[in-house]
This record gives sequence, structure tokens and C-alpha cells, in this order.
Amino acid sequence: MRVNLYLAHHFIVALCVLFSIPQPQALENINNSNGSMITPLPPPRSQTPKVDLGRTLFHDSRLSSDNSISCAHCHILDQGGADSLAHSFGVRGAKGSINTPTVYNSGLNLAQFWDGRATSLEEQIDGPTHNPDEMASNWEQIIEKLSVDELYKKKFKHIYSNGITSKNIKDAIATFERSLISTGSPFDQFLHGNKDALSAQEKKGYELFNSYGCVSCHQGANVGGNMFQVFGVFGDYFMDRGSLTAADMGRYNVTKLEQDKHKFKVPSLRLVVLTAPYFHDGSIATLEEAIKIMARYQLGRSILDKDVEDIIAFLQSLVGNLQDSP
Amino acid sequence: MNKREIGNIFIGILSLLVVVALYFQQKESVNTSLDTGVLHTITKLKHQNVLLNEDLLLSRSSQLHNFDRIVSITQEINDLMDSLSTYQHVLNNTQRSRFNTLLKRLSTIIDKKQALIETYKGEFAIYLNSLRYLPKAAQNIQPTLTAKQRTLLYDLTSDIYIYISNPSPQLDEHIQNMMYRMENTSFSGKSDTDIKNIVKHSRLLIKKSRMTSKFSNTITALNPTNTLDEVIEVFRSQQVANIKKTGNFRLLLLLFSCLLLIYILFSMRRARQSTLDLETTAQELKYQKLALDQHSIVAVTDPLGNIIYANEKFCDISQYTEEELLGQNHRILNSSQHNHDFFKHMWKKIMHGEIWQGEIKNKKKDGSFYWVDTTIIPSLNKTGEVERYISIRTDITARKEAEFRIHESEKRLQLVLDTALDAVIITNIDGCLTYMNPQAEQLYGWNREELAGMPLLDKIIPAKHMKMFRGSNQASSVLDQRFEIYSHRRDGSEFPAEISISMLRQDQGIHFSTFIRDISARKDAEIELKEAHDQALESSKLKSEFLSTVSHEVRTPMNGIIGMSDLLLDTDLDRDQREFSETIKDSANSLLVIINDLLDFSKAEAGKMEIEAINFSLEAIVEGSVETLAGRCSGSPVSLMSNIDPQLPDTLVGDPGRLRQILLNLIGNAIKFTHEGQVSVHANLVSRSEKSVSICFEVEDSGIGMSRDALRKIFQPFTQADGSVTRKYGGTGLGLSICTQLIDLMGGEIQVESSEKTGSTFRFTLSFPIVHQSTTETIEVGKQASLHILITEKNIKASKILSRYLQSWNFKSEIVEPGGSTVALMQKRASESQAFDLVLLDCNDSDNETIKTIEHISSLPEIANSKLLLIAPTNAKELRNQAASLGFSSYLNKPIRKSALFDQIMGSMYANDTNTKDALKQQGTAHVPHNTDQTRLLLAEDNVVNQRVASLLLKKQGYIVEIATNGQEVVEKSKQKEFAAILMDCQMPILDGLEATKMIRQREKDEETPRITIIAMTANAMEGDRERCLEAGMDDYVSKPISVEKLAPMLAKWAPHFEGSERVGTTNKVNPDLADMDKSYLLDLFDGDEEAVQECLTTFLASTPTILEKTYQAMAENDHQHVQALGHELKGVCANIGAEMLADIAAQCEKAGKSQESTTYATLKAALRSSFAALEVQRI
Repeated sequence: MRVNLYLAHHFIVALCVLFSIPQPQALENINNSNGSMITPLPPPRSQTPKVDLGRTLFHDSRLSSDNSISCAHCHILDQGGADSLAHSFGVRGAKGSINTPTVYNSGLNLAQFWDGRATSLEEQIDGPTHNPDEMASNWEQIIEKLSVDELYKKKFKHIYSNGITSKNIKDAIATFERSLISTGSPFDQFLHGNKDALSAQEKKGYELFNSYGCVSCHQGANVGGNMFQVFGVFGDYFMDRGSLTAADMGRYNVTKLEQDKHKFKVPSLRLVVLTAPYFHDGSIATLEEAIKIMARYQLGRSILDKDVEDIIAFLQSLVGNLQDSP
Repeated sequence: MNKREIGNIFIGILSLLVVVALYFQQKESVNTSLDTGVLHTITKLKHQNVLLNEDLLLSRSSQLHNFDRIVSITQEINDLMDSLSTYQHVLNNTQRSRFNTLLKRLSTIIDKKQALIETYKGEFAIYLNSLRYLPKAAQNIQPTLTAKQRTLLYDLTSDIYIYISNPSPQLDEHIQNMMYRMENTSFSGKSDTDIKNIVKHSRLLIKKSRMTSKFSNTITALNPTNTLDEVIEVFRSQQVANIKKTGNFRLLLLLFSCLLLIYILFSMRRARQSTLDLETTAQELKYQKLALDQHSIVAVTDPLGNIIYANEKFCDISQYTEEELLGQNHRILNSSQHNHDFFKHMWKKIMHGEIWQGEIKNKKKDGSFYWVDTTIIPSLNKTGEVERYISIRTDITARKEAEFRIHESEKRLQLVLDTALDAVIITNIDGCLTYMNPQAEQLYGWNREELAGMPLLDKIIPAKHMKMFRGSNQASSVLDQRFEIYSHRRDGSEFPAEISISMLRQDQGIHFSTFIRDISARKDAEIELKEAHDQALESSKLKSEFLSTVSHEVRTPMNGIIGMSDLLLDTDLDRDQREFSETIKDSANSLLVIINDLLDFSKAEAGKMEIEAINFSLEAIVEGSVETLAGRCSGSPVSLMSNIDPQLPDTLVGDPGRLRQILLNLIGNAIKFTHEGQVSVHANLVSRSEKSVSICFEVEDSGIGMSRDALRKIFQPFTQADGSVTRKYGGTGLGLSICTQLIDLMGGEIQVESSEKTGSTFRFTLSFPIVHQSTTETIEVGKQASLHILITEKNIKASKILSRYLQSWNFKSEIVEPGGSTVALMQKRASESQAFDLVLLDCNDSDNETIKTIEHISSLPEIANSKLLLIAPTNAKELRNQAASLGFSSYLNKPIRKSALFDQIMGSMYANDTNTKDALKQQGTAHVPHNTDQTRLLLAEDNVVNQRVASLLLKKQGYIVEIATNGQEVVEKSKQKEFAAILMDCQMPILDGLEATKMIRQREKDEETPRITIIAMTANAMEGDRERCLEAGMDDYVSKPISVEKLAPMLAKWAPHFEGSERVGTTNKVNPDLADMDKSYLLDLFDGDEEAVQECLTTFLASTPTILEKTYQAMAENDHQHVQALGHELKGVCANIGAEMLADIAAQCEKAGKSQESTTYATLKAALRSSFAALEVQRI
């Protein structure tokens, strides 16, 4: 009986595989969101006092040791939720080891940081606040400083029964960050059924994005951010690039598993056009170059320049509404 | 309900509420914790896990467009895990640790699963990319390829797809080969790079296809459901525990509620009871006031003492009316008998509000006094001042008077005690002194004050005499009786005291009064008295012993005197000499009787008389006694007769010897004091039971009788009716005294009836156990015979006895006076054809009338057929000869023996004439000697000396003697040969005489051989021996030492041989030269035959040492039985040869052995040695 079930299972899997092989006809209907591997961004939660508090905290430089840097210092909200530097600067001008990712849509990521070492936004906050090259502070210090502020005290007391605590601070900031969703992009409108929301080139780019296989990893509502992937499926990127760093080990730093070497969180492409430079090391300044590297190392093929242009056009259609700085 | 109770109830309710609160708290925790929270979370977790697996499968089959869902599910799972971990607070410690373990395991599973999913996602993306790219790439390069190349590419792609859907190793190998080939083949131009790229993608595709498939299987297999179920179980357990806990709380709650309810009910009941009690108390108080008024004298005064209330009793006792009392000061009753201080003290007390109590003597209106027991209770107001005084009084006048009287009485008693001559001491129950009178003080030298309250016993009783007090822990043993004790004074001197202790039970407890009298003087007197008494007893004892010794010692010479005078009378003597000799013999005999009496008396006095219990024949004893004494009556006009009640059984158990002694004594007395008429002995049945018979013995005489005064004295020892009697009749006067003692010992009492000149009757009644024997054949025979018998008898009494005997055998009898009337009656009866079968003719020696009658009868043919039986005195020889010549069939000796009478009657009637004549010719007995060799005797004797003595004596008598040395031999020899008689020693080895006799008798009976005469010879000259021998079947009895006098009549009677009856050699004189006593005895024994004596002595001296040695040995071994037996043997032997001294010592040995007095053995042994040595010296 068990053997029969096993055989049946395999038969079904084989059928599925056959049916799932993309057919030319199927590609025609790709504009339909139902078959797309990219889905529209979900609308953000309604504005709440907690989000407001989080926003205030996000912009409060007292979270850093010398009150020089706030979260927003690197995650510049009106510039795509990141800075334009390959490596951000911390307190007293300290240089960080990696490129700043965008804060927008970060709540949709399966984990934070390139290596996914923080499983949640709340956890992530511990990172920059305590990193000596970044905000170089600690919760005792932060709470002490915030507690001086009567307004904070009032606001915290209003929302949390136990007032200002590290947990509550992190909760407020994370809640705010989750509200940062770049909705209303032309592509989302297209997915929602507005055929005219995209230009022909953008449509072509989307088609190429699918056919080149980019969508295999950059998928979901956030167009990425929902999996880890080895950098260098076809060919060894790091050997080609040279000068290996600790950060290059990627997820291996977290899990210490051999298979996780050079594995990184697949980044969201929603605001990719706004957040150059690219890759975890911020080594690539342009999208064209980045796309070409991706095609070569990740997809194992060469890509036509015309196609790169089209894909960039598509990527531009992914940018939705950004919030203004307070 | 008081405050405390309310408080208690409040506390109860509070605790109840606490329990309720606890209960609800518990209940809540149970309700919420599991149901809504944990279960929900776990269910969600399970659900998410299912969704995850589902999505994974969907993604595998490209049904899932992106991994967003997986990401959100993963996040959801992480959140749920977080929330699950927060539930640990509801668990107890055990469950918590279990939960944490499970949680850890769960996290591990989930983490692993998530890690795998992440890997899978990455791999799948690559796989998907290549999967999509491969056909496109193939299509793109198709135009640039050759047909062959195109086919090859087509094959590769299609094989890869087949492999993906259905992987197999062959296909894999095939594909690998194809790819290898394609890689190693160089294609033209641009297509080469493309094809190489396609192969690269193909390889990746196959690799990732394997991997994704592997991962998806592994992931799906990682299932946290079981662990989650275990978590549920943990919470379930916790819930069960919680529920149980709640249950306990519920139970506690119920318990509390019940207790509270019970307490409330109880309190309510108590409250109600209290109310009731209060009412009752109020009522009680009312009654009590009434009762108080009824019982006591109650008055109330104001603070100044003015009376404001007086009850009826008060008025009664004081004789004032209420009106007179009210307003008066209480002093009106003052008797002026109490001093000023008394009232001052009282007032001081009551003014301070204290209760005063006391006895007051008050004055009545008429001036007389009365006593009251008063309690004054001051009644205080709120400020503490005295408002009034309430006095309650009880009339105690009577008590006061009684007390006074008691006091007087006590004083009087005290005076009595103080003046008593005896010392009086009173102690309490602990023995401490409470009182001692002056006499006691004087006696002991202590005074009362010194000893008061101290334990007294040690002070007055010396320690060595304390035993009687200590030993007897029961007080009763010394109470209420006088006893003597040694007491000591203060100075330590002791004195004997008579003490009596009485217990005084009083209300105050128990006291002991002790009266003590110094009895030193009395004690001294007592000691003197006791000494005197002891001396008297001692001398009395000595006297008895002396008497006994003297009597015993006197007997021996007496025997000599009697023996000698006997011998002397056998010699040729002239008339005077004969007369003197006879006088000597008579005097000696009288003296012997007196001595025997004295011996018996002293024995009785000393309480040494013993009564035996053996079988004996009553007839033999009574008739034998009479017969023994018949000789005394011969020649006197006194007829002696015995009368035994035919109803009496013959064989009884008792002491025949003593009975005989009594009868002989009484009969002897009767004969002595009777000059004419008769002396008759009666044995009458008084009562009879199954086992015993009570017999009244009477000895009746027609003698001189006694006066009333004399009757009172006759039973005292050494007394006869009066002095004159002694002078006239002689005698010691001991006979009756001994009889009295003997009868007393046998359990009877002697009585006497007597009147002067008409005679006396001595009477005593004794009981004997009966020995049941077969009915005597006499009656049977008599019944068959039915004879008609005529009795001619002068003496009416005698004829009546005869008639009674005859009647008892069923014979018809008539009585007639001797003389002519006899013949007349015989003729008359003959004519009436009732002729007499037998005529019993009583006759007298001097009476010719009988002869005449006989002749007359013989001459008359009609009555000549009647058999005649002559009854004659033993000594009527002439008459006997005459009768024989007249052809009398037989005759009877007077006094008549019952058995002899029967035998003779039967003999006369049925025996043949020849035999009868022979019998008549011989001696006047009914026994017919057997037709045997009349000179052959069998002597059974084990002792050599005795054998010699006896055989010599017998040979001298003309007999042939054969000797048997034991019973067995006797039996054998008597069987082989016939003997005229057997002389049987009783004590023999192997088989003793008695047993041998029994065997011989049995044999005779069995073999129907004639009965051989057996005569017992025994050294046991003891009472009852005779009877024992007769009972065993012997015919007669001779006591050792044997002598010619004893043997001769016996042999003459039982084994007569006329030829030898005349003694041969009696003329042999005693050798006067033989001064030695032993030899003289033997010479006497053997009629002076020196040779025989020498032989005898030689045998004796040769055999005795052996016996002596044996005796010494037995003594050394303390073998009492042997000492007794050997002593006995030696005694016999010595007595036989006349070695009196040695015989005496031997007798003592026997006695010592019997009583087991081993202490005397040494002395006796020495005595035996010296005595025997003396004998040997004499012999030399």
C-alpha cells in the first residue's frame, strides 16, 4: 500500500513538472496577476499612535551614543529608504562594513541584513544601535536619554503600560517600519488590471524579467526578500572579484553551514532603481552592470544590452509611493 | 449568643469566603489556560505546519507562484512558538520542565525545517530558472544547428524532462553520457558555446531536481505534530491536576460550610438554652429564698445594727414578735456571754464589707440562751459603703449542748484511760502515736509529748520481734485478739507483754488502740508450770516404759516357773508335794495373766495398740472363746453357752485376736463372778448393709452382780467393784479397762447392766466389713434333710439357743424337760406318726437320769429308731463310756459349737455305725482322722536349728519326721507320700507356708484326695496370725518357740497315735550341773537328753555366724527389709535353743529393720557380736 502511494506521488510530481513547463501560450497571459510570480504590495496598516511614536524614534538621534545619528540618517526615507553610499558612516564618521538596504517594505523580508541574521525588524534594531561603527549605543543609555523627554514618557505611557523599555522602543520603531510600504507603483496598478499602467517597454521588460529567470529569485510582493540564494550559481563571483571579506561569506556567518557560504538574502527590487550602489558590498554602481552580473553568475547566460534596458524600464515601474521625511 | 460566638461565626464566614475565593481562582485557571490559549496556539501551529507542507508541495509542482506565503507562514510559526513559550507560567515545576524540554525539541524541529526550507527555496529557484531556460535556449539555437545536432539536442532535452518527471539510474547514465559527448564534441561557431551552456544548465537541472526532491521529502518528514500533542498532554495533565485541586477546594468548601452551619445551629440552641436556664434560675432563686426563710433565721439590719427585717424563724427563736424587733438594735439579743473583743472583731470585719461567720450565743426574750451559727453579709451600694447587713443564722443550740455532753464524756473516758492499770496506746493508721496514757508512759519510760506523731512500732517492739507485724500484712491477723509479744522500754530492757489491738473506725479515719500489759510475772509462772508439766509427762512416760519393761522381763522367769512346775508335776510326788506344786503353777499362771494384762494396758496407755483388719470367722472366735474357758466351768453348776445369730455372716474383716481377747476377758469375768446358773455369750445382728454388718456382743451371767456405785468405777484401771471383791476374787482389775480401750479402738463402746445378786450383762456393738462368700452348704443340706428333732434340755436358755440353730437349718424341733416327759413326748409323737428323727440329750456327769432315759428309749421299740445325740461336758468321761456302751451314735461337747452341732446331727443321721463308734472311742471331736500312717509327720522348716529342735521334740513324741526346707518341697513331698500331719513354718524361702497350704488345699480339692492336717508354726506371735493361717487352709496353729506342752495336745488332737501318746523318758532329769541357762533350756526341751542338746548347740553355733554376717551386711547397706527378715530368723533360732539374750537382740534388730531405724544398727551390731561371742565361750 505504502509503495503504491509512493509511486503515485512520484507520478503526480512528474505530471506537475510537465505541466509546469512554461509554454509560449502561457507567457501571453503573464500580465494577469494570477499567474505572476510577482504580486502587488499589500496596503500598509492604518496610521496608529504606535506608528507615530516609531516614526519619532526613527528620526531621533538620541538613539546613538553621541546623539549624532538616527535611523533615518542612513535610511533616508525620501531617497528610497537607504543612503546612496556603498558603505554608510556611523558615529564620529565610522564607516560601516556593508551597504545600507532600504527600510521600505523591509517588513516583508523574511529576515533582516544581507545574511538574515535578524529574523525580525525588532531584532534588527539591536544591530545598528549597538554597532560601534554605527550608532554605538546601548539600551540603558538610550532609555536614560529618552526618559528625560517628558513627551516620550507620556507617549510611551499612553501606548505601553510599562513605559519606556527597550522592547517597547523596538516595537514602536518596527511597527513604524512595517508601515513603510511603497504601494501604488505602476506595475502594481498593472497587476491590479490596469493594462495601460505600463508602457510597452516596461511590459517587454517584465516579459524579459520572467523569461531570463530573474523572477525565479526576485519574486513575491517585494520582488525578492523572501529567500536566500548563493551568489555565484554559475561561476565564482568572489574569485573573479578578488579580495574576499568576512561579509562575503554571507549567511554562513549566521548558520556556519557549508551550503550557506556566499549565500545572501535575495534583495527586494521594489526600490532598486533608487538604492544604488548594488550588491552586499555596494561594489556595483549601476543597474546595467548589476543585471549583467546577475545574468552571468546567477542565470548562467549572457544578456543583450537592449534587454537590460527593457528590464531597467520594468524595474522603474516597480517604484511606488515614498513617504516624506518629517 | 455572646460576642465570642459572634466572633467565631464571623471568622467562620471569613474562612468560608477565602475558601470560595480560592476555589474560584483555581477554577478560573483551569478553565482558561488550556482551552483558549494553548490549545488554540497549538492547533494553529499544527495548521501552519500543514500549510507549510502544502505550500512546499505546491512550489515543487510550480503551483506556488512565489515564496511569500512560505515566508509569512514561517513568521507565523515563529510568533506562535513565542506565544507558546509564554504559557509555561501556568504549569507547575514538573510539568514546566517537561514543557521546556518539549519546547526545545519543537524549536529544534522547526528551526531545522525552516533552515531546510530556506535551502530548498534557493535550490528550487535555480532549478526553476534552468527548467524554464532549457527549452528556450534549445529553441534559440535550433536554427543554427545541423539536423543531427538538432536531434541530439532534442533527445537530450526530452530525456531530461522524462528524467525529471520519472528519475531512473539508466536514464541518468544515458543523459550523463549524452551530456559528456556533447561537451566533448566541438560544434561549429557560436552554437558550440550555446550547446555547452545548454549542457551546463542540463547538469544543473538534474542536480537541482534531485536536491529539491530530496529536500522537499525531508522537510515534509520533519513533523512537529507529535511533539505538539505531547505539549497538549502536558497541559492536560496540568489541567487534571488543577481540576483535582479544585475538587479538593470544593470539598474543603463543603466541609467549611457544614461546620459553620453546625456551629451556627449549635450557637442558636445554646442561646435558647441560656434563656431557658435564666428563667429556671430566676425561679430557683425564688424557691431558694423561700427555703432560706423556712430553714434559717434571717434578719436584715441597717448599718447601725437596727433591725429592719426579721423572718418568722427569727421571731420564733428570740420569742419577740416582729413588731417588737423592727427598729430595735440587734443588741437586744446580746447575751453578754461573749467578750468585748469578739464583737469588736466582728464589726471591724463587716464594716469593711467582708463576710463574717461565727457562732454566737444569744439571749431570748425570757432570758434563756440559744446558740446560732451566724453569717453576716454586708450589702454594699455602688460607692462601696455598707447599706445594710443581712444575717443568716442557724439554730445550733442542740449541737452545742451535744458537744458539751460529748466533751464531758470524753473527759470521763480520758480519765478512765489515764487511770487504767494497763498501758494504752492509740496510733493512727500510719502507726504514729496519737495518745498514750500515763501507765504507758510509766511502762515505757517515754512521755507522750516526746513521741507524739512519731512512728511507734520501732520504739516499743524490738527489731527481732517485728517479724510478726511485718510478716502478717493482713491487719486482721493481729486485730481483736490477745497475743503475747516482747516489748522494750526506753532503756532497752525487754519484757513480755500481752497486747490486744483494736481498730477504731471513726470519721476522722482509722486508729488503732493497743492495750499492753506487762506479763513478766505470769510468764515466769507459766514457765515453771510447763516445766512441772513436762516433768510429770516424762515421769509418766518413764513409768509406762518401766511397766512395759518389767512386765516383759517378768514373763521370762514366769515361763520358767510354770514350765518347771509342770515338769515337777509330772514326777512322782507325794500328796503334799503335789499340792504345793499345783499351787505354785496356779499362782504362776495367775501372775502371768496379770502381767499380760499390765503389758496390754501399758501398750494401750502408750497408744501403741494396733488393730488389724483381716478375714476371720465370727463363729470360730465366739465359740472358740467359750470353748477355751469351758474348762473353768467344769465341775461347777454354771453352764456356759454361746449363741450366734444365724443371720450373721460368718466371715468378717477385723481384728480377731483382739475380739477374742475382749470376749475371753468378759467371759472370764462372768465365770469368775458366777457361782451357779449360766454364762451365755450372744452375738446378735443389729444392722446389716451390703458391705458391713453391725454386731451386738453380749456376755450375760447370773452371778453376783454389781451395785450402782460399783458400776461407775469398774472401767477404771486397777479397780474392781470394791476392795472386798479383790480380796475374794483376785485379779488386777485391768481386764475391763483394757476391754474398754480395745472396743474403743475398734469403734465401739462398752456398756454394762447389772443388779446385785441377779447378774450382769456386758454389751458392746461393733461393725465389721463383710467378706462375701458362697452360701454355706449347711442350709442347703438342712433343707433337704427336713429333720424332726427333740431337744431335752434343763436350761431353758440353752434349749432356746439350740432350737434357734436348728430352725436356721430348717429343722423342726421341740423342747422337753429331761426325764420321763421325754419318753412320753417321743411316744406321743410316734403315735402321731411324727416320730423324732433325732433326740438331743443334755446330760450331766453326775446325772444318772440321762442314762436311764437312754435305756428307757432303747427299750421301747416304737421310738428306738430315733437317733440319740448326747450333749455332755468335755470332762464327763464316765458318762461318755456309758453312752458308748449303750450304742450312742455320737455326742456333742459342751459348750456347743454351732458347726459341730450341725456336723454331728448330719453324722448321726447318715454316717455308718462303725465309724461313729471309732469316733466315739477317740477324742470327743467331730473330726475323723484319716486312714493314714499316724506316725509320719512332715516338718516344713527352713532354719537348721529349728529343724533340729522340732524334729528332736517330735521324735521324742514317737513320730517319724521328714523335713522339707521350703514350701515347694512341702508341696512335692506331701504329694508323694501320705503324712499324718504337716507342721508348717509360715516364713520359708521359695514358697512360704501360707502359699504352700493354699496349693495343697487346691490340689486336694482338684484330685479329691483326703484333707491332710496342716499345723502352722510361726514365730510371729502376733494378733491375727492364727486367723491368717486358718484362712489359708491350715487346721491349727502353734506359736514358736515350740515346746512339748504346745506340741503334745496339738498332735494328740490332729495326729494321735496311741502307742506313742504315753511319753517315753519323761523321767529324765535335768542335769543340775548345767547351770548355764541356755543349756538348761535345751536340756529341758529335750527332757535332759545331753546328746541331743550338744548336737543342737553344735548346729546352732555352726550356722549362726552366716546369718549374723548377712545381718551385718544388710545393716551396712541400710537394707531394712533384710535386717528385719534376718532378725526374725535369728530370733526364732535363738529362742529355740534358749539363747534368750541373743534372741532379744535379734528381736530388736527385727524391730529396728521394720521401723527403719538405721541409727540403732551400729549398737545392735555390736550387741550381736558380743552376745554371740559369749555363747561361743560358754560352749567351750
